[in-house]
Amino acid sequence: MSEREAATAAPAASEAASVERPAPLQPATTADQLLMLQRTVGNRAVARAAAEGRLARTPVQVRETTTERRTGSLGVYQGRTAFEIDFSPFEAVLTVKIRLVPDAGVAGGAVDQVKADAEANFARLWDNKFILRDQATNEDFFLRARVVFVTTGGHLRVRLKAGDGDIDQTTWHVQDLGIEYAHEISHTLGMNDEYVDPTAVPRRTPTSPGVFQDHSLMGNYFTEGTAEAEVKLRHGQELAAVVGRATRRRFTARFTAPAQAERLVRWRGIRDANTLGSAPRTAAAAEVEAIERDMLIPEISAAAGRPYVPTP
Amino acid sequence: MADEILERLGSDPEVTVVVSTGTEYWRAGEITLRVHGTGAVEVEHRRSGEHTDYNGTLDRGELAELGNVLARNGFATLTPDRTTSRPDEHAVTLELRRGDEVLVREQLPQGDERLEPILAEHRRVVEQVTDSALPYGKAAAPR
Repeated sequence: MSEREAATAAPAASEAASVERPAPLQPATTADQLLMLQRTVGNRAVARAAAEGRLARTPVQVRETTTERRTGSLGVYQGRTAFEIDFSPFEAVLTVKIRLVPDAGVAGGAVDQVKADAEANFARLWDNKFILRDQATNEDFFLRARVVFVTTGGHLRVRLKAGDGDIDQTTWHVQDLGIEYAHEISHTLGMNDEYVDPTAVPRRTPTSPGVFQDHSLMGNYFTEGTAEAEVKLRHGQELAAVVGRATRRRFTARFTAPAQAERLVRWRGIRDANTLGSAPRTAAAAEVEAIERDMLIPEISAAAGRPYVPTP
Repeated sequence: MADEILERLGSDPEVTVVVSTGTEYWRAGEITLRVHGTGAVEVEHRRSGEHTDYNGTLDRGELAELGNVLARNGFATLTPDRTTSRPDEHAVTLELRRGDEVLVREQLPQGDERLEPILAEHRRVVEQVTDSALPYGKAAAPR
C-alpha cells in the first residue's frame, strides 16, 4: 500500500479511538458560508484539472530545527520540525508522516491502537482550527492537519516501547495517553514546550516568558486538565511563520468559526467550574469575553435588542 | 572505588544512592529514590507544587543485589554522550554519597539506552516502596 493509500485508509482505524473526530466543516457565519461554497467550487475545478492532467502539485517539505537552551552542562533541547504542506484553493493540507518502529514484543494490536489514538487526537486538536491568510494576496486557506503512518521514509522515526514510561518526541509507549502523542507530534510542527522546567532557560519559573498556564496542549495539561487542553492562537501563528519560511510567503493565522465555537463552550465550562472571584474564574471569564467579542456576540445581542453583559 | 562502594551497598550505613527522574511540572512529576546503606529507602514525589514522601526498607540481600546491578551497569562511570535532548526528554540524575561527600553525580538524558537497566531498578524499587502508586500508578494519574 502506498503512503497515499495508507492515508486514505487511516480514518477507518481512527474510529476505534476513544476520542471524537471533529465534525465535517460546517459554515458558521455568512462569510464562512461563502468560503465553503467557493471552496467546493474550487475543489471541483481542481479535481477536474487534476483529472485532465493540467495540474501537478508537489507538497512543500518543511524541515527546521528548534532549540531551547538548558542550564548548566545540560546542553539544549533540540526538536525536529518536519512535515509537508499542500496548498489548494481554500485549503492548506498539513501532513506529518511518521514511521513507528515498535520494540520486539509489542503486539500488533497495541501498535494499531497507538496509531489510531495518535491520528484521532492530532486531528481533534489541530484539524480545521485555523485559517491561514497570505499577507500578499489576502487568500485564505483552511488549515487541515493529519498524521499518517508510513513504513519507509517519513518525516519522523518514532520508537514504540511496551508498557508505560517517559515519552518524548521520538520515544513513545503503548500506554501513553492519546493527547501525549498529539503533544509530541506538535513538536514536529515546530511547537515548543510551555510547562515549567527548571533546566530550560526560557521556562525556569512560572513567570518565565516561555511558560503558559492557559490550558495549552504544550503546557502542563496533566494538572490543568487533559479534557480542556487546546491549541492556542500563538501556536497557529507560530505554525503560520514556519509555513511561511518554507514557502517564502507571509501568513497570519486566526481561528476558524467552528474552533472558536468549541473554545467558547470549553471556556464557559472552565469559568463555571471555578468559584466566583477566584483567579482562575476571572481569567476564564476574560477568555470567554474575548471569544464572544471575536464572534461578534455583543453586536448580535445588541441587534436583537438584548445588550451584551459579560458573565463574571 | 565507587563501584566497590556500590557492590558493598549493604555494609556501609553512611552510603546513599540517589536516582531522580522527571520534572515537577510535567507528567508524573519528579520522583527521587534514595537508598541508604542502612536499608532505609525514601521516595520523594514532587508534582505541581505537591510533595509526598514514601518510606520503606530493603534487606541486606536486596541492597547487595541492587548495588551489584547498578555497579555492573555503569552507575558510577556513565557520562553523557550528547549535549542535545529531545523535547520532553528530561535529565536523569545519578548520585552516590558517603555522608555529606558526593562521590558521583551525573545527569544524563532519560532516553540514553545505557540507563535502561538502572531505570528498571529505579522503577522496581519505587513500585515496591510506594505500593505501585509510582512511578505510573494512581499517584501519577491522570498518567
